[in-house]
Amino acid sequence: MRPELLAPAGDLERLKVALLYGADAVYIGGTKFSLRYRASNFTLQEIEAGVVFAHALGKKVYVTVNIVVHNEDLCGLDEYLSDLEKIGVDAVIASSPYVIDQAINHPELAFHLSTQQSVASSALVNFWGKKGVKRVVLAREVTLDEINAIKKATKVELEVFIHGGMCSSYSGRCTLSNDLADRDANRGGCAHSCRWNYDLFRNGELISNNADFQMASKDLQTVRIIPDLIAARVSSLKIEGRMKSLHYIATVVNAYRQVIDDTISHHLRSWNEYETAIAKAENRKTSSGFLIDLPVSEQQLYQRGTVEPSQNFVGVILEYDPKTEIATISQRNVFQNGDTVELFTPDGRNERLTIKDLQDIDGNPIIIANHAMQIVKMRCHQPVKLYDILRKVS
Amino acid sequence: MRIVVTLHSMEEMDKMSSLGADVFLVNSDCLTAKAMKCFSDQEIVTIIGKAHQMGKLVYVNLNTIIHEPDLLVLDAFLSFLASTDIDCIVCFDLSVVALADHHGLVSKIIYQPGTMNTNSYDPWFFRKLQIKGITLSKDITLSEQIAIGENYQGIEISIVGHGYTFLFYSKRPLLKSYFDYCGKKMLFFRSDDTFRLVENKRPDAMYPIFEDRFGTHIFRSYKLQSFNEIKVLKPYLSDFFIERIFIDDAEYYASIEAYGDETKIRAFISRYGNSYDSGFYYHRDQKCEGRDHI
Repeated sequence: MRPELLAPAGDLERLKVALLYGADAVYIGGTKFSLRYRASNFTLQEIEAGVVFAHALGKKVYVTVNIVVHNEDLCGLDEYLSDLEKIGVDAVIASSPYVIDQAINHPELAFHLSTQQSVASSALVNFWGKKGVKRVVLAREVTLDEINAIKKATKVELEVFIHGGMCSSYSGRCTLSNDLADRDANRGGCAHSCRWNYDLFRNGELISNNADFQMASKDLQTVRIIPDLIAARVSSLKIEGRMKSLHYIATVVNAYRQVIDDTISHHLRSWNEYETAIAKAENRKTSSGFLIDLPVSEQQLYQRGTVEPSQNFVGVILEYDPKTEIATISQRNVFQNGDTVELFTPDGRNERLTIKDLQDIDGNPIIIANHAMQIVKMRCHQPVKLYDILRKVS
Repeated sequence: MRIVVTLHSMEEMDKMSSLGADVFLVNSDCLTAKAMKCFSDQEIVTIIGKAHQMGKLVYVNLNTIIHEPDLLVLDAFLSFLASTDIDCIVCFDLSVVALADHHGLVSKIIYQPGTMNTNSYDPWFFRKLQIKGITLSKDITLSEQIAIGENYQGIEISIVGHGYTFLFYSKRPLLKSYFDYCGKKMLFFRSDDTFRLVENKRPDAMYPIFEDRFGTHIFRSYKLQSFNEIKVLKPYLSDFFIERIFIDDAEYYASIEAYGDETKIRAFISRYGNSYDSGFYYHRDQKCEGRDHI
């Protein structure tokens, strides 16, 4: 069975990139009722545009309606679900029983149960299946063995996180942020208080050193476990990160696309090859989370310091004129004439080219593109397409 | 409204009863986390017998996330419970409801997930399951609790209204991992209730942190008390849980007495009040800030 590769998208541009670079489906947040309110969420018009784009490619769009609903959130929720149904979104990802129970009123809308419910047993998967849930996103705390056992005991589709940030607590049960930062973790306001530094005392005596007690985990990375997850007949492999950049989405999605396809075609390459590809956009430390075993200190994130963001992503192609061989580029990091860059494309092309004949948007020669989001042009003999990515070769 | 107290020994049942306890909550030795004292199956049978003779009830506490390998243990324990006259199973994970069905125990379940039960529809949803009741989310305001109570849907509503309420439950052994990282040889740290966390911007707030075989638990720095709030909530509540963890026996007994006898509240506050606050009752936090952004 070929599992779905499910990617996050914080806006319409990233939605398109995720799908073009290999995702089978994307999950997005609307402007209402969704966690991650700091992600640039989608209006209904944008959701519709995303659905049209995805369906034209034979792919799917899921919309998160995954806040833990309070009374004041109930107003407008039914209408919102009706709007999503009319638009033709493929599923809603929900955590609240109220939302799940609306399935009966929205027969064209599938309901997936969010990881906010921290489902870790087949009994609970089947419980929600009987409530009309088509798919359950399992808790990040389940092991591969548990996934196998759960799958054997259920016909409900299972979705498993394969990459990205990890909550330290069981999802949906944490109110650390509510208490320490006055921000409701279960309604989109999580302040990531579990990633702060703390001092630890025992019996009133300080036993930590310079607030080095930390609870944060390394991000999840499961390249080497994908074949096992496919063998376990997981329906959907999910990448976390609706707030991640276009470059991150393209890179991580494309790498996992290759791992999945190569596994199914029995042409797996060396693990390093996929992991090196991911590392071009991933600058955080990673681990296999709970999938192999209970995380120990090696899976935790100590002595983090400041992680320097990668500067490799220099631009994304907006258009290309084959007659003049001029490519128009949206700048994302500084680059200049003479730089060697890698052209990273949805179809897997990885060609090197040298930046030359840079021009500003009016066609005036420039040497360097050093303004954020600057639109520049350059001569490019290789044909390029919208959403091809340029990144520096380090 | 029944006062639910956590039992640490059979010897204290009479005392707690005389102080006003209506229900004894017992921790099992199989699937109870954050437990300072657990009881074996045989002890639970004995406690039930004694409590019923006293005209009191016994609830058993199953407050872990249930993973697939736990199902066999859970099923066996429910089978045992079905053979007893247990009055209620307080559960943290709906897997318990799913399995309880096979043992005819669904109507004895209170679903107490800590969070999640946050709106007036939730009682309606759980009433359909025919469970005994639900415990409201610890992080909703007093006015939200009243609104849910006013929309009462024929299912018992309860709150955890006193003591240290937990903020965080991780499956990760965070203390062990930290000690391993530091190379500290730390003996007997599991189930040690003296660990505290301090965040550098809140040097006066000490957050209890506790690790057991189920993971790591972090609690609010202040204990919750509801002496005023209970007056307005009482008409809506079937059970009022008094948390015991990190509280010494004398203070715990005094709290039970104060909820049963208003004249004891002043003395309680005078003696212990500094370490208590009103939790999230009036905490109009920026849960609404999220809404402002949407």
